[in-house]
Amino acid sequence: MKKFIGVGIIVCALLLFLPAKKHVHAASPDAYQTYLKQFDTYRTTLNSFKIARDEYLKYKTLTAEQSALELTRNILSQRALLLRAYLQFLSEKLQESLYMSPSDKTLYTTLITNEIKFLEDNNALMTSVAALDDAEGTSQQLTSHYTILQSSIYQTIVGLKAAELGELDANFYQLFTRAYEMFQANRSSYTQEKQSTIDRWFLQAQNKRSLYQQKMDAIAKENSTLKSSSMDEITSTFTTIQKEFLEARQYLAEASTFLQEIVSAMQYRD
Amino acid sequence: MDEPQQSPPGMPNAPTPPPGMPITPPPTTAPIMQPTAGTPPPTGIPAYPKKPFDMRFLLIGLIILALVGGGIFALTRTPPQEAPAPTATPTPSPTPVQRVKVPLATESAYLDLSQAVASLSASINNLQLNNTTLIPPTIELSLGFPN
Repeated sequence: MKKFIGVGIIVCALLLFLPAKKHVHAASPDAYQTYLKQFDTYRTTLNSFKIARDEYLKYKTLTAEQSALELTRNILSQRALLLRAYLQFLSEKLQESLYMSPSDKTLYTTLITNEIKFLEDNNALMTSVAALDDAEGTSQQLTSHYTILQSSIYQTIVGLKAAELGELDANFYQLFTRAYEMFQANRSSYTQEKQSTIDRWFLQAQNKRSLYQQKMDAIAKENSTLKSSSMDEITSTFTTIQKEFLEARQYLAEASTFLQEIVSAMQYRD
Repeated sequence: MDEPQQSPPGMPNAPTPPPGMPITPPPTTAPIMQPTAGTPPPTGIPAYPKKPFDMRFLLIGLIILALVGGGIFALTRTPPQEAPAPTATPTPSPTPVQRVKVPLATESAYLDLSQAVASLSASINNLQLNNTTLIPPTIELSLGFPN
């Protein structure tokens, strides 16, 4: 009996000292769900606000004014909360991005943090809103800041997409290097003609990757100048960047196809 | 005065009537015979005694018709065309390419690399750059109250 108890204690001790499996939980899906719920609340509040506002503008009664004021406070608050929930989602995506450079991550995180702080400050003003004029003033604060907020959002989105492509490019470069080294180590196994063919193919794959890198450099440059004075300009630049992302992805796909051909050709002598 | 009628040539002349007797033209149609009293009028055409149709003639006729028809068909019938028998044509077999594999092709490092490159290509092609979850929300900035 004592033996069994002893063995049991040892097993328990071993289990306790086993390294616990690290539970990795992605926070961005939860943040996205919160954002979607907040969006629903915002839409509902917006409809109620519009009804109260129209009633006030039509009848101009004290009751209608009071109702409109309450719902204006509510919509301003919900608007700030919606934007905050979206920024929180972006922030989580930034934290989960493994291949973003630390400097970029710091830059975008700072942008998002500043915008969240602005929204919190703006939301804090809701308590002091006692009349519709005050509400207009508070709303105007956000309106005048909205272009900066949008440019910060778009810059972060571009950064996230660039990181996604960067991860694939890093993977490609690693495999390209492995294939090249493998070929060089076994060079003598191939005929002269085959050697020169594979050399040329490596160059062609490298050229494709260079085109990809040029495109990504152009995107990075345009992203840094996204801070514009008008929303239209920001949207237009973002659309251009989207197209460039597609072109960059195409170059990387072609380079990857070339590498696949090279690796396939490497198994035969001639 | 009526003059005596001349007979057509080649026909004997009709006897001339005695003088003083008027000449009357002969009746063109025979007078209708009046039924004599006491005799019953005929009731219709008397029934012809029918002979029964002999079926043997029909049978013989059919046999003759079948024989004649069969003979005509046999004479006019064209023999069926026979499909030409296929003749085997010699097809040249491709020259087998003897591709010599290098020893590297069977190494695990090469196989791993090959698999990793295929996986990378699939990842690049499946990458969703137009991620809709990242689209920022559209909000109404103006409250809509007149200043």
